Amino acid sequence: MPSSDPLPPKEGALFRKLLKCYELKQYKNGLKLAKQILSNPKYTEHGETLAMKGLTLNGLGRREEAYKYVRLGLRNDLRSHVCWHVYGLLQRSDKKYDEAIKCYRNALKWEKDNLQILKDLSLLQIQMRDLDGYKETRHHLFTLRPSQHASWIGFAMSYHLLRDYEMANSILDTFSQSQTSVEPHDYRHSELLLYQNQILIESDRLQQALEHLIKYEAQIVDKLAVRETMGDLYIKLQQHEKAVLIFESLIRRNPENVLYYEQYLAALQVTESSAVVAVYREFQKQYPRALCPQRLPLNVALGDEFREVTNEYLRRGVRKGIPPLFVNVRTLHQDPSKAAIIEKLALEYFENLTRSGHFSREDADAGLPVEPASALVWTALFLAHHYDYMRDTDRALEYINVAIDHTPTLIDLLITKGRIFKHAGDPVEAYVWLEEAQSMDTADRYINSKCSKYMLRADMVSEAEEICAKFTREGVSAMDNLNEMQCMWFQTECALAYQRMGRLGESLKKCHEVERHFAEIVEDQFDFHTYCMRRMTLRAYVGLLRLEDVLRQHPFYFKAAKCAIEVYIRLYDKPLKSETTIEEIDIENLPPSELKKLRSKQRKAKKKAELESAQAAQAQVKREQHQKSKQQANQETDPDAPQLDELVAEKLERTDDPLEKAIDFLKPLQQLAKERIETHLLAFEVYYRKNKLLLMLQSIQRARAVNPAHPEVHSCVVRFMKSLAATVKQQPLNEHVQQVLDKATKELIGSKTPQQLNDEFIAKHNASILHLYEGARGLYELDHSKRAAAIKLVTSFNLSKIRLEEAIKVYTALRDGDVFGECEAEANAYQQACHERFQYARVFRNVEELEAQLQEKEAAKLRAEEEQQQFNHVDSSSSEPVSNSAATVAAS
Amino acid sequence: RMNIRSAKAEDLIAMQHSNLLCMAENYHMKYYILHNISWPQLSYVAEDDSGRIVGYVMAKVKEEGTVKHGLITSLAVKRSHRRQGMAQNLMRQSIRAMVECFKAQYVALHVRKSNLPALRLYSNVLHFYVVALEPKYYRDGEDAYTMR
Repeated sequence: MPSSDPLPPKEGALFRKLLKCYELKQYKNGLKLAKQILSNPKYTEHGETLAMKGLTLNGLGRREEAYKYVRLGLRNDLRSHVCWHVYGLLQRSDKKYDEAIKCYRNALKWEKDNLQILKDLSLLQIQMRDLDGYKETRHHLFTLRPSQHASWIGFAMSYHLLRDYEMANSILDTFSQSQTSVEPHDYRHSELLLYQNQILIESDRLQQALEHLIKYEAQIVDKLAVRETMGDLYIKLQQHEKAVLIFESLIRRNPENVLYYEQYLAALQVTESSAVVAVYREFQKQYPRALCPQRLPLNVALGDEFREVTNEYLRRGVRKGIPPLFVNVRTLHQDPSKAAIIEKLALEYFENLTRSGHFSREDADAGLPVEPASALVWTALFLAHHYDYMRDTDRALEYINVAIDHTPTLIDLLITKGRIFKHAGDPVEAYVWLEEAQSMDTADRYINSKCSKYMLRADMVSEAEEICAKFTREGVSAMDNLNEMQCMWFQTECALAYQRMGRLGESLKKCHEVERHFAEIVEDQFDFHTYCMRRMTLRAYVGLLRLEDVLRQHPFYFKAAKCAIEVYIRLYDKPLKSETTIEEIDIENLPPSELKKLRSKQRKAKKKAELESAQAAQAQVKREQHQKSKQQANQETDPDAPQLDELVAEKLERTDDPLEKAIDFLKPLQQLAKERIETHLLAFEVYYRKNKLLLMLQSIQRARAVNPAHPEVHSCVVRFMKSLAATVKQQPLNEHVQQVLDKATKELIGSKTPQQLNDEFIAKHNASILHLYEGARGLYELDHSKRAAAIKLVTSFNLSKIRLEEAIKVYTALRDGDVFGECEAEANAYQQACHERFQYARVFRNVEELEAQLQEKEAAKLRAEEEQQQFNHVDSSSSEPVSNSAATVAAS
Repeated sequence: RMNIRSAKAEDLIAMQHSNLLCMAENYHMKYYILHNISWPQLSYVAEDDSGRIVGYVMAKVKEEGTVKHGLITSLAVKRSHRRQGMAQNLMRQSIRAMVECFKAQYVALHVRKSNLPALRLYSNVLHFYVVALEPKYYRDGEDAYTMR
C-alpha cells in the first residue's frame, strides 16, 4: 500500500514486520520494532509508525497511551489511510462505532479501494444498522471482487435488509446460475437456497416461492424446513389436498407440535367443534402415546363433549401422576363454564377415590379394578392448584394438606403449598415450604432456584444468595458468579427485593447489571457478521439481526427497567439525606428514656456500619484482584474488551439527575414496548416531574391508545390539567404549543373542569376499586380539603369484592401517606379490616402478632433440638454394647 | 398442552433462562447464539400451555477427520414439567436433524455419573450406551460418562 510519507527500505521492512506482529498479537515485539523505526532521527515523528505503536499499546491494554500515540500519528500524517484506519480500529475496540465509521470513511478518501478497510467498514455499518451505507459498501466490495462468494451474498443481503426483495432475489438467482456443480449433500448450498426462498416468501411471491422449493427440493438437506414451508404455502395458495398430506407426514415426524395440527385442520377446512374433536380422536388412535392429540381437543370442545374429553384427559393424567397436569389445563380456566366442569370432575374423583378407590360411582358399580393409591394424591394436588388459581386459599390448603399427609415425601406437594402461601400474600411462610422442599433434593437446581426466588420475595437477599451458592462456581461470590453468567431472573428479583427494603442504590445496581447484559448481547452479534458468511446459515443470521433490533422488548428488560425507573423517581421525590444530616435528629425534645434508646441504637448502628465498611473494603480488595486477574485473562483472549466502570450502589443512589437516568431506561421501552400501558404510565410519571407538558400529553395519548379505560390514565389526565394550569399562570406559553395543548385538552376532557371530570369519573366507576382509588387521588389532588371524603371513598369499598393486590395497593398508599397525606388512624383501621378479609396476607398483620409467631417458632425449634439431643444421648448410650459386639465380630 | 418445535433466535434468552434454573453448567448468551447460527436445525424447545419455554435441547456437530458426529451440548426440562416424555421427544427431533442435515454418523453426549434419571432415559429409552468414563469432567469434580 503506497504511503503518503514513505519510509526507506530498511524502515519500510521494519514497518511491515510491525504490522505482522500486530496481526499475530505479538505486541511486545511490535513495540520494539516501532521503537527501532522511531529511534532514527529522521523518522521520530513518522505518523504511521506512531499510530501503529498506539494500536499495539491498545493490544496490551494501555488504552490512554494508545489514544495518545494514535492521535499523534494521525496529526503528523492526516493524508495517510493507515493512520485513519488505525484510528478507526482503536475506536472500534472501544465500542465507539459511530466514530470508527467516520475514521474508515476518511481512510477511504485516501485509498478508496482498500479491501480491508471496506470490509471493516461494512461490519460496523451492519452492526449500527446503517443499512444504506452497508448497501453501498457491499456494492463496492462486489465490484472489486466479483469472483468471491461472500461478495455476492453480502451484496444480496444488503438489499434484503432494505426490503428490496426483487434485487436481492435476482442477485442470488444470477449467483446460483453461475455455480456449475453442486455436491450431492451440500449444506451451505442448501442453506442458500432456503434463504432465497425466504426472500421470495417475504416479498409475498408465494407461487414463485413454491415453484422454487419444488425445483430445488432434492438439493435441500433441511427436509423439515422444506416440508413446513411447502405445507404453509399450499395452504396459503388454497391447494388444500396437498397441504393435508404434508401435515400428516409432519405430525408423524413430530406428533407434539401444536402448529402442525392447527395447519392440518386448516388444510382439511374443518372448523366445527365436534368435527375437530373427531379429527383429534383419530390421531389419538394413531399416536396413543402423544400428548397433543389428547390435550388439544379440550380447547375446542364444548358442553357435554368438553366434559367427556376432559374426563378422559384428567383421568389419564391422574392415573399416571403427571405433576404439571393442572398447568396443562390452566388456560381453560379463562372460560368460567370450563373451569366449573373441571372443578366438578376433580371433586368427583376425590370423593370416589376416597370412598372406593375409583374415579366414579359407575366405575365402582361396574366392578372395575381400583385406581392406583397415588391417584388420590394427584387429585388432591390438582384440586389444590385449582383452588389456588381461584384464590380460595382455605380450600387450596385443605387439599394440599390431604395430599401431604398421604405422601409427605413428594416434593411437588411442598412446592405447591409454598406457592399457595405466596399467592395468599405470605412470602415468609411460602419460602419456609420451599426451603423444606429444597432440603429434600439438594441435587436439583430447579428447586434450589425456586427456593432462592421465594427467599427474595421474602426480602431475604443474603439467604437467597447462600442457597444459590450451592450451584455457583467456588472461589467467587455467588452474586458475582450469577452476574457473570447473566442470571437475569435472580438479579431482577434482587432488585425488586432491595426496592421493597428501601435499599435503593443496591436495587439500581442490580437493574444496571441486567441492562449491561442486554448491551452485551447486542455487542455479541458483532463476530457473527463475518461468521455467518462462512456457515451460509443466512436465515438464522437474519433472524439474529431481527432479534437484536428489538432485544430490549424482552420481559426481562422490561421488569428491570420498570424497577429502575420507579427507584429513580422515588430518589427524585425523596432525595437521600446526605450522610451527615441523618444524625441530626432533634434530640433535645426527646424524653431521657427515648434518648437512651436512641443512643444505644446509634452506637449499634455505628458498630454495624464499621463492620460493614471493613467487610466492604475487604470485598473491594478481592474484587480488584479478581478484576485484575480477569483483565490479565482478557489480554490473552480478547484485548478488544473495554473495561466498564464498576457499579457502586452508593454512587448510583446519589445521582445528580435521577430523572435523566430514568429516561435512559425508559427510551427502549417507549420504542419497543409500546403495547404495554405501563410504559406510557411510567413515562408520564417522569415527564410530570420534569413538568414537560407536551411529553406528558404524548404519554397520556399513547396510554389511551393501549387502553382508554385503564384507571391510572385518569389520574394522569387530572395531574396534567393541574400542571397545565399552574404553568400557564406563571408565564404564557409559546403560541404553537398553546394551540396543540388546547386542541388536545379539548379532545381529552371537552369543556369540563378537572373537578367535573373527576366527579363524573367517580360516579361512573363506583364498582371498581382501582378506578375509585384514582378518583379519590384526583379528589384530594384538586382540593386538599376533601381529604376525608377521598379516604372514605376507598376505605368504604366492599372488601368482599376486592382482590388481594388491590387491597394492598390501597393500604400501602394510606400507610405511606404519600397519596392522601398522613392518615395513620385510617390506615390502621383499614389494615385491621383487610386482615379479617385476607387472613394469610402478611402485610395486614400487625407487628406484635408477627413477632409472637416468630418467637413461638423459635421456641418450637429449640424444643425440637433439645429433644433431638436427649434422643441422641439415649441412642449413643444404648448403642455402646452393640458397637462392642460389632467390634468383636469384626475382630474374629 | 405441550409444543415441541425448532428453536428460533427469539427463544435464546428463554433457553438460557431455563438452563440457569435447572442446570449447573451455564453458558453466556454468545454461546447460544453460536449454536443457533452454526447449527440452526439442531436446537429444539418445549413450550407449555401459555407458550412459556419449559425445556430445550441444544446440540452441535463435530468433525473428526471425515467422520461427523452429533454432540448434545445441553438438555433441560423444568422439574415442574417432567414425566411427560419431553426430554425424549426433544432428543429425538434433534438427533433426526443431525442425521438429515449434517450426515452425523453417531450422536454423543456427556452425563453426570450420579444423574440416574438421565442415564435411564439415554440408555433404556433412547438406546445410548456408555463408551467412556471421563474423570472429573464437571467443574465440581464429578465424573461424566460419555455415551453414544
